[in-house]
Amino acid sequence: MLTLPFTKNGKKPAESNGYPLISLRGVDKLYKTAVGDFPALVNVDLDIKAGEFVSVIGKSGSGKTTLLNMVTGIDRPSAGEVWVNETAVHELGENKMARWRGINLGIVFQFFQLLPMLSVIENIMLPMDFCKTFPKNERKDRALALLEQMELADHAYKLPTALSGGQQQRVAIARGLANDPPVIIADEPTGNLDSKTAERVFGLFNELVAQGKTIIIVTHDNEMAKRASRVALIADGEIVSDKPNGVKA
Amino acid sequence: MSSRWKKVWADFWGNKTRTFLMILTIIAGTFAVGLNSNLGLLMNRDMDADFLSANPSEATLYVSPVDDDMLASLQEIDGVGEIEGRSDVTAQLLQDDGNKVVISFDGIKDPAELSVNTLKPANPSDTTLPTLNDKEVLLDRTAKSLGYEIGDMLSIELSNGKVRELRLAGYVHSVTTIPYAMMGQAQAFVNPETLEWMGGTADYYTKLNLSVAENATDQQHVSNVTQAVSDRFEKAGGTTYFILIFNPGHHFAWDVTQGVIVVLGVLGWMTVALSAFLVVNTIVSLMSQHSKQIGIMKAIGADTRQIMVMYTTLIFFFGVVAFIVSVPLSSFLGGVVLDGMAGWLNFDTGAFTIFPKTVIQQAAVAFIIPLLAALLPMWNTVRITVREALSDYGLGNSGVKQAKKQTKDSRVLSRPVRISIRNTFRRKMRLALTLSTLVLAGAIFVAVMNLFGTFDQTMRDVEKYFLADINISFDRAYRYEKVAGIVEAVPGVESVEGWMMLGGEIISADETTANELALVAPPADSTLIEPILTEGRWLMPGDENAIVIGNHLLSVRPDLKVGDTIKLNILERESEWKIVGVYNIPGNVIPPLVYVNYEYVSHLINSPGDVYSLRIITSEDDPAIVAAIGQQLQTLLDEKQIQVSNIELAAEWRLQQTQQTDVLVYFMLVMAILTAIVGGLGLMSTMSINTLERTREIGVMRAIGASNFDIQKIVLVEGLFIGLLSWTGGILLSAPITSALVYGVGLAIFKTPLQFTFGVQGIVTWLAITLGLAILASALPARRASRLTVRDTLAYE
Repeated sequence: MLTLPFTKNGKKPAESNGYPLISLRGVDKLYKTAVGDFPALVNVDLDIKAGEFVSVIGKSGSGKTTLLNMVTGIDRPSAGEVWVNETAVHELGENKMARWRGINLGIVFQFFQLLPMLSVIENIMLPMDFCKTFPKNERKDRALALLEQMELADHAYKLPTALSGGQQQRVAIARGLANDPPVIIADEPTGNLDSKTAERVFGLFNELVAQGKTIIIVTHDNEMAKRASRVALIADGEIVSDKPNGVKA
Repeated sequence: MSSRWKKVWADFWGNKTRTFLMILTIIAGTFAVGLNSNLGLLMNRDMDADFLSANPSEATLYVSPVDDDMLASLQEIDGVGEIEGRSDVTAQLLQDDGNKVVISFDGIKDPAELSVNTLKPANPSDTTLPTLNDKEVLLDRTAKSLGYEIGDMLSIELSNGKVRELRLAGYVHSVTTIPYAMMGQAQAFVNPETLEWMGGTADYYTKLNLSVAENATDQQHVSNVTQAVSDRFEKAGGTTYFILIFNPGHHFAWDVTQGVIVVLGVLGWMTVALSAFLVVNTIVSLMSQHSKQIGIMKAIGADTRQIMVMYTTLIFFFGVVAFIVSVPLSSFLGGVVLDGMAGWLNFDTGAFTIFPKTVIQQAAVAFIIPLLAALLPMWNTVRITVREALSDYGLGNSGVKQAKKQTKDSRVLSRPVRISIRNTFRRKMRLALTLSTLVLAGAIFVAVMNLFGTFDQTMRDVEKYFLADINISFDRAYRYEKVAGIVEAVPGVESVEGWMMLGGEIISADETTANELALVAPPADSTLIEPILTEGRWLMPGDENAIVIGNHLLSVRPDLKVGDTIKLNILERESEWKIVGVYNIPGNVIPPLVYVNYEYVSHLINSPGDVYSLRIITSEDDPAIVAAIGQQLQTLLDEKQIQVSNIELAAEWRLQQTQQTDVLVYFMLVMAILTAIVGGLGLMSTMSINTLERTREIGVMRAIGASNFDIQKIVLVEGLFIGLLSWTGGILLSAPITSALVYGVGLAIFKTPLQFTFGVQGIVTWLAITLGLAILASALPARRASRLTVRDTLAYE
């Protein structure tokens, strides 16, 4: 069982109080292309409560990643509102957004996106350095503790390229947890991994949810998506199905 | 160290090639500015310090004999600081190999007791001067190249043909003497008794060295004081034959070196500009490569300011290393070059110094300029959003705009070549920066080569006034028939002309002042002069009181023009002359030369048929053969007891002159090569970035059948194409730079703007260098690109 080390101020992650932790209201996203406007999201409404594990599934080009980008503030809606942890994400400026994102969201990318010139442990310490969420003298211990949780402590001082894909993805998850954010967002976190390793990563996510984290993942793998507590199906920029797991669409 | 600073260090140390290129780029500018600044400051400090420590005379008056009483009287004149009399004898030093070197002896009582133009030990670490006894001689240290050791006996041939043996008592440092290598004349010192034994006078002085009490650098003031001395002397019955005032208060090479320092300074700052272009290019590429990392850092909480500080620190690191390398390197090389210049221009150097002014300039070039250059590209990239940074699926457009129309097939160029040419223009800003660097480098290089050509042309222009292969000057007038007969008997002598040269004065219209000049009188039908006329005409047979004046006389008498009648004082006799033309000759000519017909002036001074010099054309051009003919002429004239003061070979004269300008050109060439290196680095950096950016495209091309050679060709052709574009631009830009350089250097060294010369040599040489640089700069990226596997390239992130 994964237990999170050094949670901020000794508090437990946010608990559901009946209000959604993440809320999208009437979100549209239009991309301008050479052949005209392309609607990536159309009037999307989505509420996610604290402690939920949500899978967003859909075909390639359906708008999955765009939806995640709305939540993370990586992209801005053409219309509508995005609220995360009582913050109006759609109103944040780029600089405030970066700091807010570092503290409130842990992002895990399909291609891991670890900085190649930094060792594994330095990659994990980097968000803490930027956001100063933990005292300087605690950062290394916290990073090591996270690596131990990921069963990667032996690789702490290696460069990412020396690790396998699965190991790199677990480092990326550890990095996502570095600032102890309430929300973890993962875009195709298992898309680059073999099934056994993907299984392990999902196991980690489940443990994190059990610890009280809210997780949203985008995946094209319907079988994996079923491991989440809730599955949202997106097609042509619209959420066409949003049900707890086990309920047929 | 926190992980963000570890990233900065990893960026610095992780890509050693990029770091090396970046540091080298900054070093180029920092070093160039440091070297030029150090050299300028050291030259200005040491050259004048050594010169002024000798209490130099600002004027020299060549006069009829002066005794000590008269000298004491002249010392009392207002404005005179020190006035010292010396007698001198000019003779020839007979060398073991049969060559003769003109040598001038000054009579001095005690080398350590001179009040003006003092002497110092030849070696700056010595504290005492050698003593001077009867029949001993001291040589200025610049004559050491003649190879004499202390204690050697020197054979001196006097003008009357007698030979005197003098023991070399030692070498001294006479900073007020123009070095032997430049003048072709050695300076020596003997005591008055020895001077008398050599035909000079011990009781009187024939040369007055005058040092003014104040305002030593004020030419007009020096001239007024000198004129007052001359007037007092002439009122007392003496005669002033000639007054020499040259660049008062400064070392003789002061003006030239100031010009050189300014020109080198300009080239140094141009290198800084090139370096800044390259910094921009490298930073643009660095930021382009790091945009994804910046996106990730932003995704995990970094704000723009934090990222900006990280990259600013990285640039600062580059500057620190460049600064640490450049400061000692430029100081050391500045010292080395100074030593070379000091040896060449005959001055002692002072203690090694690191000048704060230089260090501040270098700090600015190493720290501020790269930061300023990098600021905009850094700012543009760190502002990138996470989405922009991470969304690079597929091949991307990499600068390729949406095609507005179908590109036409070319029957001339193959498709890979067309890909290369299109690739060239994909990153227009990067191309513009690379081209700017290479164009400027090329323009500077071609301009320096043009300057080389201009110097050559200037020498040829000067030679037009001295077309003879051999020039023989006599100590006194000889009948032309007599000396020409002797000379014509020597095999290899093709033709001979007898010329006359006289000192004189031009009297002002109100008859209150007079300016020194020298009258040169070639035969009316002379073929050994091809003057460059700027106005009027040249002398013609039958002209009587016609005179052609030059640019140097016009600089002191700008009121003169063709058609004016002027009054000259020649050998104490006044005569009127009509200006028929104005010629131009580059260089410093003191006193100004004017040309008159030999036939008329020789009658005017009652010496028809007498000549003071012979100008000889030989049948061979080979310098060795001409030198051998000169040797034979010397022997023959000695046998006939003709008193020759000097035999000068045109080739030797040319060598002496070019030695002076070559130093400047070599300096500039070093700067030009430095700019070429920076340009090459720029191209290499651009080609590396372009190749890296197109890694996926290369993978696709390999996947559809492109061979190693195809890939390499695409990269190489792109490099060559950029090289050729820059070459064209460089040639165009070199025209105004050449014009400015020729104008500035002309004024600094030759006192007149030089004629603009645009040679093919520079263009062709730069083409070869450009193509070489392009191949070198593209070869490594091309090789790297061709070694990538399809799997590597398509997995590239």
